[in-house]
Amino acid sequence: MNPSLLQRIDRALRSAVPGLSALVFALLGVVPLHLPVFGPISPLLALIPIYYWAVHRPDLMTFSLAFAIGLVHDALAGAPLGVHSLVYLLCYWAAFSQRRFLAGKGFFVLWWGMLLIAALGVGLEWLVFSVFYARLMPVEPLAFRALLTTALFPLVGGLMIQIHRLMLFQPRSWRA
Amino acid sequence: MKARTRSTVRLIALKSWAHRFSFALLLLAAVGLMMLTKIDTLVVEDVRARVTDAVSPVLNAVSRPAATVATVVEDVRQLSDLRAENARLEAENRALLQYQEIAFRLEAENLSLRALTNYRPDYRHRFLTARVIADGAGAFVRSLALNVGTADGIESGQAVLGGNGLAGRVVQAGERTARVLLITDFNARIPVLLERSRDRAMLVGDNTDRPHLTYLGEEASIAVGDRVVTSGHGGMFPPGLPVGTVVGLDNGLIRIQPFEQLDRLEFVRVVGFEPVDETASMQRGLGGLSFEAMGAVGVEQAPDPAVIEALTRFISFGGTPAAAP
Repeated sequence: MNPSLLQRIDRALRSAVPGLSALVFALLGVVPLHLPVFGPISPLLALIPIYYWAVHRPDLMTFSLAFAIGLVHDALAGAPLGVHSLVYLLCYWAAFSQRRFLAGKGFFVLWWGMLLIAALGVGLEWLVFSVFYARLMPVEPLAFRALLTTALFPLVGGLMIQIHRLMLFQPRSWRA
Repeated sequence: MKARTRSTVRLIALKSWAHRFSFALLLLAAVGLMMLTKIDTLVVEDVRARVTDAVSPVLNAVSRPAATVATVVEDVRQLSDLRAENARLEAENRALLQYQEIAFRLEAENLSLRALTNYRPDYRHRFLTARVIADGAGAFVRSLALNVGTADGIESGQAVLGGNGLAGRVVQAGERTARVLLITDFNARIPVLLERSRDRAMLVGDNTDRPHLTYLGEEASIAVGDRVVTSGHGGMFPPGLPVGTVVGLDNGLIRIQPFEQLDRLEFVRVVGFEPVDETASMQRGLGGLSFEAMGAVGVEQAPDPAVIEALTRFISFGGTPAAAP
């Protein structure tokens, strides 16, 4: 049976959700919050959806999407283009390679994985910036940045879990 | 059946290979992009401007509630020490009123002396107020995106002021957005001078909250608390914009505390700065103040309210501030 137009639109929208959610958090990540001392330790928000979908739906959150979201991040944040593409790509790869271990293991294992990925992401960011500018960048904010990213996982990751559930939901009339 | 399984296995192997290949390719692309950023900033800045322009409506919408929340948080925090704050402000206000009197007097004297000596100011300013719609969000980039662009007359190189002092400079202008490099960014270099001793120096950002001074002459006289202002050398910035105060030595570097709280900027003013057309400068050079008006301000006279108003405008760099779109 050929799917109807509505079903095809529905399917396309569902496939776009992981990419869109990461894009939304990349945008939210650069919104000025006007909070003192927050700037340097602001979390790598887009990393959370990238990590979650790399583990659960690597078919919908691909390498190229992670690359593109990094590019958007760099363009908006004023960083040299390519820095966060590289960071997100490598984090994606790390999460992707561990997905068999992480997927379906429950929330706390996933959260633990987030800590490792956030630490990797922040460390890579520091390394890439240091190489790019050929001098050592300040290391003080790194730990807080990674911890804040991890601390936001229950919120953002929880949202991803809900979205994931919605994606799997099918109206009864459409079931074969 | 067996042939089919084999072809499926081959297909999976091929897919996995393509997957790895795309990963390697994208890694190379990222490194290539970074190298391109390092070599040819024009193309890269164009890409950046286009992306920022494209998402600016979203950022514009999202940054408003964020700013409101931040304001509410700040308001609640301030409620607790309102009384003490009020007493402090009243005392400060009394002191400032005296300074204002002195400033008016000096300004009037200055203006009448300028009229006497036929002094011609060599620049004038235009202002455009803009909203901050995105910030660098990270330890390694100190920059902002504004909701104004070339369509509003913004150009690369223009100075950006907060309410208290210099915040940075426009490094790239898209059609509807502009990017500002803050004075604390690793790449920021601003020619400055010490207001008291008139010694020149270069203000260098290093991604900390306090930039430092370099190229300060050996015989320079410097003390903690000295005010640092833009020198206008190099023709990039108007001279005399307030930057910060000297706070002390740190590992052999002279640190400056910027006047502006750079992590809380919500609105900024972009200063358009143009050399005055020599032939036309006599009447409009001083931000709309005519020579007749200046002549009317005698040093010993009590200042007329209208003149005070005009002078206040002139003191805050003249020109009429244009509203943000």
